[in-house]
Amino acid sequence: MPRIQVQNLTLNLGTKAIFKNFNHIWDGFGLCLLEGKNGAGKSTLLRSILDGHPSICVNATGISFLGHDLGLYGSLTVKENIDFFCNEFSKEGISDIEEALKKWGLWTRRDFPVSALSRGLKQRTAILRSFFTKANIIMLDEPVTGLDSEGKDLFFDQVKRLSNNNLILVVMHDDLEKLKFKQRIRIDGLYEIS
Amino acid sequence: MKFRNSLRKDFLLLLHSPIPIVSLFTVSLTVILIFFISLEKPFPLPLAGVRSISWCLVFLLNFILVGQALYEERELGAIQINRSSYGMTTIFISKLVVLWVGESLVIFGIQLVTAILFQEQSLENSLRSFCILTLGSIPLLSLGIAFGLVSAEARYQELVLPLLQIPLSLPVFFLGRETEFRVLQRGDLYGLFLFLSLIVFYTALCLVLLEIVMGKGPISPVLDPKNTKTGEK
Repeated sequence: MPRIQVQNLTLNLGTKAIFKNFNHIWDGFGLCLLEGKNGAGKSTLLRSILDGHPSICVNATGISFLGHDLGLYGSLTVKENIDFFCNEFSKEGISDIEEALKKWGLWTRRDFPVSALSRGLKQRTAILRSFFTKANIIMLDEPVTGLDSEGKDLFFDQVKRLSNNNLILVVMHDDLEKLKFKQRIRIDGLYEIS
Repeated sequence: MKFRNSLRKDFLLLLHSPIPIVSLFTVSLTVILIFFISLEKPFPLPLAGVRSISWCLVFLLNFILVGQALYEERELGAIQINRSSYGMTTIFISKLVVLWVGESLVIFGIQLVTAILFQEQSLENSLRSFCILTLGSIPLLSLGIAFGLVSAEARYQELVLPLLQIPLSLPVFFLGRETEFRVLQRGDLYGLFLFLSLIVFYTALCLVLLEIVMGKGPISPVLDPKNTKTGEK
């Protein structure tokens, strides 16, 4: 079972402490929301988990991450990007990648370099990249940015399905009513270093 | 499997954007032509002079090749994802192999042009020079890739990278040039052995540096659950 244990996490950004002795455990499968104001430290927390901060213990087959940077290669095509990131870790095999590319409206553009795609299509490619993984922890930082309503619906369907056998941490501000969260964590407030 | 994937991806990156190789060769050709036209006759130019031009070119062009290759990793944050799924050793070695192949092509071009223009050595010596230059590019590329990855998230990366790379590249440059000169003039293989040792040392050093600075994976040992309270901040 996937598990993330944060113990006495203290993070500073310049003279500000983003987290001071922050403790939390995410345990088991399900969809968990991290909410809070801009600059509260939600993305920083996800990055700390990904980077393996010493105060954070992760028990998982791997971590898949979609952040503000899409994590793709601009000069590689959509297919090459998905093949590279998913070849090793695909749960469902190549035929499912093709199916997913069709479903997400990327099949006709599979031979386009990612740098030539629109913002929304880049986001769709990055979502696919983060979903086709053997990792059982998936962290998504504002994943619906740039998606149209069709893309959002596809995303919500996929997240609901994957949350049955993965631990998904998601940072979102809009459309929260479309997903059912197992846990909601509010992160807000900065701490001055005394 | 992971390494093969990474190698394939790096070759694809090189093939999709061949501009680095073309631009490197164009710059090299321009520099060689400037020297060729501006140097006074009669030829041939002393061997040491021609070889020094080649080494200076490899030394300088290494920065361009590494810089352009690492830009792809940084542009959309791919290195962050790669790092957690593939590991720094795989990333480093696959990038080193691919960039070395690319740089070897440029060095071949440099050798060909200098041999034609300056006519300073036999075909056999040209091949020896080519081998030593390509060997010398391994530690230079290792330093570039290692420091480039380490400083990828630094705010002033363009400033930090040369500051880290240049001082450590100089011994390779000087020893490489000296080794080549000795091998060509005197057939001194002891110097070549020293140079090979330096190559192995530098490559291993860069790999260890990367693993120490950036190699920590996301899966860490279990902390004490008794001290952790759920949901507290």
